[in-house]
Amino acid sequence: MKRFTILLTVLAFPLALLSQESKYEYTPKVKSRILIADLLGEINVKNNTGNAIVITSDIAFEKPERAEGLQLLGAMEDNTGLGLNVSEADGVVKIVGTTKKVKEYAYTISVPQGIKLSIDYHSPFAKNNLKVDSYSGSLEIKTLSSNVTLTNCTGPLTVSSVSGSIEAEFNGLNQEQPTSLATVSGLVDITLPAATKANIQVSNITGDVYNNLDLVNASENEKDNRSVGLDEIKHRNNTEYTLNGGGQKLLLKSISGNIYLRKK
Amino acid sequence: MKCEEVKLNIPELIDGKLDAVTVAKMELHLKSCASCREVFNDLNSFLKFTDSLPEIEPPSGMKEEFMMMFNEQTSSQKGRMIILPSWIKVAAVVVLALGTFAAGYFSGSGNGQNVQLAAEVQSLKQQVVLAGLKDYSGPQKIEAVYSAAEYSNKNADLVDALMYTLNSDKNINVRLAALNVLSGMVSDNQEVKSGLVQSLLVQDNPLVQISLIQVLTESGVNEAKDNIEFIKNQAGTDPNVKDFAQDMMKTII
Amino acid sequence: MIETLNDERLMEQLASGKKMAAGILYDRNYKKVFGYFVRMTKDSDVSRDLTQNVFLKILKYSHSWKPDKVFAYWLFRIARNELVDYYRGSKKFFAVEEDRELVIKDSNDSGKEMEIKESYDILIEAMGQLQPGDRELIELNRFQGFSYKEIAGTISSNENAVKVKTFRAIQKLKEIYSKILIE
Repeated sequence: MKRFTILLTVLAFPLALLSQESKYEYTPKVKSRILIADLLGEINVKNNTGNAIVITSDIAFEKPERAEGLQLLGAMEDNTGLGLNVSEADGVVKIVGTTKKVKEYAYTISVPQGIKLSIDYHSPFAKNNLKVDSYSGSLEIKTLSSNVTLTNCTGPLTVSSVSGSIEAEFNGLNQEQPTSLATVSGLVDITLPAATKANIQVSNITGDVYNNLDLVNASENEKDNRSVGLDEIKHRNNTEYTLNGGGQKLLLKSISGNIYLRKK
Repeated sequence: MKCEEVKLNIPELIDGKLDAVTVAKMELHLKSCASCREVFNDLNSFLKFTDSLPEIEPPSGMKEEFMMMFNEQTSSQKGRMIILPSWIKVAAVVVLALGTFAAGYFSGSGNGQNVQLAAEVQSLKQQVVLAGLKDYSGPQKIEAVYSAAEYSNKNADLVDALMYTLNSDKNINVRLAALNVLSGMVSDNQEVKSGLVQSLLVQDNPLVQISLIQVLTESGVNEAKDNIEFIKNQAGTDPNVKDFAQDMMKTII
Repeated sequence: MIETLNDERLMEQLASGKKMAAGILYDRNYKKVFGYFVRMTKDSDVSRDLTQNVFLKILKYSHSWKPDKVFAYWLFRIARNELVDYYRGSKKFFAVEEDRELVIKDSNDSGKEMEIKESYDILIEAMGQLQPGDRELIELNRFQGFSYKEIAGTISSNENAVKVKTFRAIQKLKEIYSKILIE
């Protein structure tokens, strides 16, 4: 028996080296909010059906030999084995990178349904992109130059970026709360099912807007009898459209990038 | 004091709810009566233990659920009522502080005081941000901003709240929503006009800066000229913002 | 600022139509109410619903609010009626159910937290074995912090009777608690 165990250990060891994915699970005490910050690696987010936050990564970070016996200064403790610190206080689970090297690795974070998630990716050192697939909870993302790609999403969500592009492919639009996508110089590209009910506010300055949805201009109806024959003085820099009679707000903004609205 | 009376008083003695005279009498009795002392010791440790237990933590989302039920109820009664969530109401204080801060900052006057004020504003902001993070998500806040504007009177409280949101919310999309609502009031509300001009000095996000410049220049607010110039010449300003400010300055005389 | 008002003043605000007072009252008091229901019913889901009902009732009855009332008692009377209605409706009048799942659910706790959790479960178990009247006295005196006089006002009894009954209830609870511990 003893020999068998040793044999197993010997066999298992190289196998462990081969499988590069490391995994960490955390079950939040309060299923309320998650905040991801200082994690500048490639991030993929999705929902799971369980109760635990599951993080997997290809991280292979080792302290440099020279750092033997030293601690990372000012960093939080890596309590996940993935270069991350996971902590929970006041109903907020924080997932924070503990070493600057996390940006060289990819993380897949799967989150129980119904939790509100905020990702702060607003850093000049963030070179990677964010991908969110099939996420149904409330989501907030802030980036500087990283692109955000959302597939199979429903909102409600807010995404803001400076030079990153935002692409979102919706399954439907959450009617409880608004969705807002805004960037300075990136493009905004959304795909909606044809039957979606929405009030879509499009605002842009130097970019163009391309569309094949059946949008109805909502602001035209506002003119009263008295204003016939008079030019409208433009106060609002947005144009609001209704889709299928109107619904929850979908706010789209790009200052200099193009905006694309597609029928799914 | 008789034993029976002493025993009945023991819980209140432990809770510190008795008057000094009774306490003295009780202590005297306890010193001399072993049986009462035993009851006291027993109850003391037991009650200290039960008192030390924390309140049971309710499941999350109860507040949101209640506010939803509450909204449904009030909306079916008389017209539609709107509740401004509490995050929006710390407004007045912080707006005031930010305004003063910005004014001092801009005029470049005395540093010591401003540093202190800046620190105060920062800590206020942090408190609010923390509270906001805990209770409301970005989409919830956007919803609140739009419904507040739609259903409440456009009074000074609302303007304060929106201005506060525009100047300090952590979520850029929420700031943009607040700006959007405020931009609809700029032509006939002097307070909104001057608030937006001030806001130019505290914004650091390019999206908000550009949107703000756009609103002010398109509404022909000439008073904004100096502050736009200030952003344009500030060292850390994003090049996109500088270009835009440059272009839009031409429309202001 | 409305946040600085006490609960009684907030009720006045609510009565006069200032609906924003509702959220603040809720924030301040819902944990207490929820805790009460959990200790009485041992059921977290039921307690959640009952808590929401209590606050909806407060809104409903807010117009009948009188400035001389004390909010905490008033709140408690509403909570108590809600509980009575619940037991009537569900026909399990103060039934003690065995093997309820633990009230405080935590997964990865430190040893200290586990200990508190266990103590709590045992205490709730022990409270479940008390007579309903005794259980209520414990709740009011120990968990809600009401004085004997205040309890007398809430449950329509006299102060001295409350004092005697509460003392006995505490002793009974302690005995049951110790018994469960030993088992």
